[in-house]
Amino acid sequence: MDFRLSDDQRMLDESASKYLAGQYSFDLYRKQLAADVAFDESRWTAMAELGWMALPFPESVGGFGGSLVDIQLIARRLGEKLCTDPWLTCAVLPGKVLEFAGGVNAMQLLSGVSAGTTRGALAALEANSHYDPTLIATRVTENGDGIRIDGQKSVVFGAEYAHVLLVTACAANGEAMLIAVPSSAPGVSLNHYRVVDGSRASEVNLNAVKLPETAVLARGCVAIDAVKRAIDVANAAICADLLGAASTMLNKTRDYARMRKQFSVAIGSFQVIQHYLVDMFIETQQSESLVWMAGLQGDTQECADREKAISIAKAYIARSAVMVAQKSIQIHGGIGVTEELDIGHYFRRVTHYAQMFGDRDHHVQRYMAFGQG
Amino acid sequence: MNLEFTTEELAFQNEVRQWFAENVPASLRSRADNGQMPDRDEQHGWEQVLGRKGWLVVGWSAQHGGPGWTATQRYIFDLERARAGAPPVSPFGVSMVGPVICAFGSAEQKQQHLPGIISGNVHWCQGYSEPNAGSDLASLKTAAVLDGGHYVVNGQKIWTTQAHWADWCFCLVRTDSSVKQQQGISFLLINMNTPGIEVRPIHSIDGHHHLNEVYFTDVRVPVENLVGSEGMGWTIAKFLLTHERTTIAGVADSKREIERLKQMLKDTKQGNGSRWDDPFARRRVAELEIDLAALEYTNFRTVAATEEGMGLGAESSGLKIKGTELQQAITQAMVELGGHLSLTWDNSEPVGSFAFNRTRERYNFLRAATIYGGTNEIQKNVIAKMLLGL
Repeated sequence: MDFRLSDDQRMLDESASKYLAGQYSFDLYRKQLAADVAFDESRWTAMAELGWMALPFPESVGGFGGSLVDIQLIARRLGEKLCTDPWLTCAVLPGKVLEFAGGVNAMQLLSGVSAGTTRGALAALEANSHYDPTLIATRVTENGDGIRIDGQKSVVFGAEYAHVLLVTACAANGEAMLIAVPSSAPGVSLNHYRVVDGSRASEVNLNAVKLPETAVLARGCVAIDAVKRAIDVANAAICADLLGAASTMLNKTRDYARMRKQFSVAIGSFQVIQHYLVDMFIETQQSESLVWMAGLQGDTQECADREKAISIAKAYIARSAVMVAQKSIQIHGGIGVTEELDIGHYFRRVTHYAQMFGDRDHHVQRYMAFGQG
Repeated sequence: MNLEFTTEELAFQNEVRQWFAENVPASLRSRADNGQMPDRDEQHGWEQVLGRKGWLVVGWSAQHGGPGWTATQRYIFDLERARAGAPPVSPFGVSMVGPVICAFGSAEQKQQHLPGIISGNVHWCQGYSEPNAGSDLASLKTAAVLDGGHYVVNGQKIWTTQAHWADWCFCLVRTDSSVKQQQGISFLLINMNTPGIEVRPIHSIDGHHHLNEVYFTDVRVPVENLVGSEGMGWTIAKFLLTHERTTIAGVADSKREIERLKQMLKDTKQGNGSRWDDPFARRRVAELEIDLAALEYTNFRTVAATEEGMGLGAESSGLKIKGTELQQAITQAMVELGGHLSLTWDNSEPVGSFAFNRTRERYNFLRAATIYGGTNEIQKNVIAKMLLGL
């Protein structure tokens, strides 16, 4: 067994940490929140120059062939800093969908994602799908010279900043398709809004969107598997993000408990507060173990092993991180529920990520389907 | 033992239900259906409707202008109020300073202040907490120094809910710093229009403005506004903690919210069925209902004891702990059971279910429920000391 990072991973981790410390801050996060913005072109370019867009993808498309753990290292640092830059939703997730879908057209798009010049967004879920990407009401019809798409995709993270939407739709015969839809295509309209972590998502309306046959990247099981597998990658990253947010909350709350005085002593001297913080510490430790487990065991094409590993981690960490977030507010008292302090914002980020692509219930259910032999 | 309402109580329930059905404004109902809190005009307007009916100060005796109801009647009233989608009334005048003035106020104070509270025309806020006096409330520093016929007040209060809506503030102030902390505190009524008062908003993580900081700089308060005598503030504050606690558990609103959650799950499609078909969701709701039953029957026992004239002591702390924990569990279940539909923040058009889209508001707001009114940790200290002799 070896849980140590390689030299390359340590360098990646340190450079991510250093970059975010220099370029991102709680003040910047709040300014963007007030301006309804969760993206910055120059930061995107800087992240691409650091190699973050190329990192997750194969060398054949210009990527660095990084591992799932490599992705998690960056995600954890983003969680620590409350960063809402859409690296996960506009690069990693759509890029992985393209990679797993395969084929010439997907690879061409992926080389743009990997270079940082193309941003994508995965438009798989719908208002009535809950977390299940196989529940697709959006319709695709094929005719002689192309396809036509009609329907609506819901809560599409990062769509506001995407050049291409990776849309799932279902043919009359029940066959699912994965389709590359340019955001600017006629018949595509987007309604943007803020989501709980302070980033942006959109309703994607597809009204008689006509595209050439080449827009179809994958069909049937290949299409669905590409989406599910990419969402598993995203969930491994989300677990790491939750770990980053939770461990930051733990540290900040510990510091506050040592500093804040009531009844003439630090509240950290009260046993009830100590035990809260110890519970938070232990949960964070166990969460970290499962983050790396998911990064290592989830990095496989073998569906049952992968889903089991990812669902164990997400089910556990979703509960632990929420507990840490709730207790952090409780220990802070009134100041913890204000917009002024970062603690409440971390709380919202944890709420968001614990539910993004499946909450604890969803992953316990998936574990029951795959994990119990 | 008997768990049934009497014939008279059932008739009362019918009367109240009918009245709410006819009088709760549609705008309040629609807000309640989406788990949203009323704005100032809606809240005040509604309280005035209750005031005109004589049903605002329901906990007060007939002698002071209340309906003189039994604890059971008050419980039934609260149940029907929540069921009808009406918000709880603001507690500061009705449940806090009103009863204090009834019990400790002078004849002049009663004459001046009670009518405005009974009618819902005058709005109050509570000046207790300070930046360094939260759980340790007795260490409060806001000073009131006698100068002729006035107290001159200097200091800062914080977490003052609805201070920006209030006409008056009841404040705990320090009138004597030479004695034991608790003995140097007095209870003062301060008109919010007095020069030297500044209210600054605090925005909370639900995205709204409920809380404030209130700064007092050389604020001159007539000595007639002292309630009781100097140094009685702590006694009065403790009186309030055990007064009219039959609704502290929040049973009525939790009951309504669980029913609302069930309806939301039934109304939200998942594939060809609905979210209500998900056995995990059903189990989650069942667990909330079981916890509600435990709280509801504990509350019944408390109501019954109050009817028999037994004063409520530290038992109310248990109701507060379990009541607020249940409120938080319900709102968390609402957020989680909505899945991705609960993650939208400011969409103007519904995404699947507007009720799920707005669940995060109450979830975020009610994180404060285990903090305000004495943190749950402080409540546990009270029970350990008063009921368990520890």
